[in-house]
Amino acid sequence: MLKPKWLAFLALVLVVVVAFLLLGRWQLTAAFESAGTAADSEAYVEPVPLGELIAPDTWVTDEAAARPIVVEGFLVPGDFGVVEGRLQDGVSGFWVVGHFAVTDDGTTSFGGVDASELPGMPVALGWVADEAQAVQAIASLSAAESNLGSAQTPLVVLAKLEVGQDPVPARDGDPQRILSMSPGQLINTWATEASDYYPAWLLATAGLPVPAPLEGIDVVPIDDSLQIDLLNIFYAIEWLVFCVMAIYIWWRMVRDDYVTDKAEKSDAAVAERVRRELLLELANKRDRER
Amino acid sequence: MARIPTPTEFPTIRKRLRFYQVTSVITGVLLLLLVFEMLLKYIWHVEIELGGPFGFLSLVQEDTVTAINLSRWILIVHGWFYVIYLISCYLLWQKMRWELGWLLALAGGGVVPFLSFITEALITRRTKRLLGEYQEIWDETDDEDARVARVEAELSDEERAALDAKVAEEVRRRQEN
Repeated sequence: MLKPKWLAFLALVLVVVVAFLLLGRWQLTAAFESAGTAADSEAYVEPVPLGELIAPDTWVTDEAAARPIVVEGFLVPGDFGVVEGRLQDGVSGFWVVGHFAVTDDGTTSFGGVDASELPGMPVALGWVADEAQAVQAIASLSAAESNLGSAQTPLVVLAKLEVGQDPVPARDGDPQRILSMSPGQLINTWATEASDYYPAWLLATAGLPVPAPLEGIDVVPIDDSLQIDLLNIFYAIEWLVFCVMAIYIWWRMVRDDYVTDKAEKSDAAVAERVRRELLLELANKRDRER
Repeated sequence: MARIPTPTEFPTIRKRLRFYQVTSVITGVLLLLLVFEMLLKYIWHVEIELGGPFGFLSLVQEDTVTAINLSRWILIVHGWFYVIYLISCYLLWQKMRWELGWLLALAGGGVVPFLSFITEALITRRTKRLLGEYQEIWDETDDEDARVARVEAELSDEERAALDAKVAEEVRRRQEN
């Protein structure tokens, strides 16, 4: 047990065990790192002023895309439109979109009194399954039955800032139909020009009128459920098994050595060996004498 | 005299050698599958799908497997089978009373592609050769035992008493050291 050989071997085994444990820990951290919520998940819950993420004529960055924002402004009458092929709970339908004139983005107050003096951005207001009903909703919006807001009395809007999609050409039927949330394409349909444009669009969640039969657009939440990578867990367990094996092998070798040593050194064992040696000598002597 | 396996252990050793041979071949094959899977995944970025929408076996872009991800199963099965392989190596190594280096060589044989097949052939040959040698040694011992028994039977009572005294004295002398 205390032979230098075994102690040296123990030191080696301990080094190996520590190495294995570290490898196991690495697998565990890998498993949980990929499982936890993203470090910036909070940023996708708490709304921030629009101006902190994007200014007119600047691009949406990766950090800004799909984040909730708060902004002040109003809807420009007569600049409503319909976008086709929008899904809601698996049903393909239509979005009613509008021209949102930004009066205050939380960092800058744009001092315009008219939509043409304010930066503009397309906004998606609501979803409906049927195109005729979408047109009807636009009619009720334009009839000023609902409060569109104005430069003097802006609406405070909660929305998600979204990256513009590529325009999709309408190859059959009416070529003027709009098939994607492409800011450039939507801007070109507006009757009122804006002073500046954002190459992005807003998905309204609160603060804008949603006249019947429109429904609010369902926002699919980001999946941040716990998904532990079982493969890493398996490997972590395996490293632990290797540790146990290394320790067992050391213990077993020491024990075997000790047990056989003890057996060989007992009086009976020594006596038997000596007796055998002497008798063999005797046998050899007698063979020579014959 | 170095400790060598006794003849009563030979059947056990033969069984353990067989077990080692089987596990080493399976480990070798699984390791080759693993290498193949890694090449697919890290060079061509595809995974093997079993029973998915593209037929019984298909290669699909990584992280798009919807049915059984064979690539992942190869990883898991290889990982756990390697543990069984190590146990089989240990069992053989322990009974043959080899030095530690041999165990490490056996363990290493299971992690280098194709090496396990070579290791297996060498170890099998060595084990069989050693068993033959040990058998010869034990046969010699048996012959000696027979001679010793013959001599002892021929001893007279006085000679026997003298021998016993001599043995007792020699044992005392050795145990004091």
